[in-house]
Amino acid sequence: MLLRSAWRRAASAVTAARGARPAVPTRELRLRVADHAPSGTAAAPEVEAVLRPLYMDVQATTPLDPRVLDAMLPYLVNYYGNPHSRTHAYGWESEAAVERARQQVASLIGADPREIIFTSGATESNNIAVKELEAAIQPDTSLVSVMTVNNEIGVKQPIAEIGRICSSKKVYFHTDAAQAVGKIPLDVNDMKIDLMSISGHKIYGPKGVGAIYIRRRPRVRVEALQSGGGQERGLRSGTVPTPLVVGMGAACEVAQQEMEYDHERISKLAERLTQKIMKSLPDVVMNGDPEQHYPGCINLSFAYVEGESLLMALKDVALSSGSACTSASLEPSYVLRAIGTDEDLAHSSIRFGIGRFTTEEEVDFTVEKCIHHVKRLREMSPLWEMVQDGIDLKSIKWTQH
Amino acid sequence: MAASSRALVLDLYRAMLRESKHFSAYNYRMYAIRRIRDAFRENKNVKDPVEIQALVNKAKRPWNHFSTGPHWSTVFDRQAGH
Repeated sequence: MLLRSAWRRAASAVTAARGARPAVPTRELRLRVADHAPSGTAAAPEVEAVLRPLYMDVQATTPLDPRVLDAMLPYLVNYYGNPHSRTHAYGWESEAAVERARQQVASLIGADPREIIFTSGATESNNIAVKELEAAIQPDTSLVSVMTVNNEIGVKQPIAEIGRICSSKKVYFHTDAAQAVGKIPLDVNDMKIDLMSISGHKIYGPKGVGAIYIRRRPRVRVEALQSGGGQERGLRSGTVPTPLVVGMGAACEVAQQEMEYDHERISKLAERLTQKIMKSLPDVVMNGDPEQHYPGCINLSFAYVEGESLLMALKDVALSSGSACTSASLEPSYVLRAIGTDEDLAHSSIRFGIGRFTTEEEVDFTVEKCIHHVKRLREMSPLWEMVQDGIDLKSIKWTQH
Repeated sequence: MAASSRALVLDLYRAMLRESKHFSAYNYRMYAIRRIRDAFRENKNVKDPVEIQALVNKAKRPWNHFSTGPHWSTVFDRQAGH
């Protein structure tokens, strides 16, 4: 209560200190007001009235769903026991919450709760799954590992068919389902999946938590990456972080309830985005199979426009030109290269992410800005000028200097 | 019975929409308003009173952790940045 009133006083002091608002609010990095300003001082620092960019990068991470935070808060504030404490109520209630979350995750993918091990994220889960291969190397053992939905171009892999083939050949099948869980229906038994990696922060849950699904029947043996006190059936030692795990469970439950509604809405928004862009701009290519595609991840290549310059021009929208994990390098996406995209088109790709909280207005704004800047950048491009004059770029002999 | 449950449902609908407008974060605010509207609209032809009660309970459920009532939007006010 005191905290909230102190915050209100600081906020009103800031509002009072603000000068005349700029005529048009710009969308840029926002300057954070120093939250630790002493309560209610009139000398609040200057704050620019700017809006933050629109968020269209859901493949990188997603915001917490309010229902998830609501589920987590009691375990951050009141029920803070260690779930492995066996001797008192704090431990028991924390453990009960962990087991409830485990059931929620299992229910989303058609698994048994005993087959879910909590980890720190999909990356750790992937490592556990692949280490299994090294641990059990025999002439007839191997592992197939496939992404369910690709994070760069949104392509859906034929998981059920792959599962059937692996099962018939007695080969273990692992899938990294980070981008797919809670967005498309998954069933580990129908699809004959032996190992599955799940990420919390891709499904509107908290960051720092994930899970690995490990089939029990027939038993899949994995080796622990992290040894210690033997928690999580000895497969992943370390205190299970109850608030994070509760958040993940809640995110899975919400996803199960909202899957159909979200999918329908995201499909409509994706259709709107691609149609509007393709109608107004020539030479735009959508990367990835148009049929086997998750609608919320749209990767477009704009010919004759450099991807990085377009991203910088679209500073009012938070976008990416590929995978966040490889974004530090200037190499074009390995995924685009793998599907045979031309080098120049690979450098021109932008990924638009549409999620549960994306609005129609945000899509329209993004489309408008995108069309405007692509046109502007193309006007400046000598390559575009040559194409307009009818020159075939592939026939040009670029001289060596 | 039918008339009063209709009034109760409408009251709940209006209360939830009113509360949703308090989210200062644009995305949460728009989602809450849209989702509540679509969910109530989707179920508007349900006649069975037991089912109606179950749906009402489901709508109220997520806000159980805040003893002062559905003021969950203020939690997000703090985080969304002022």
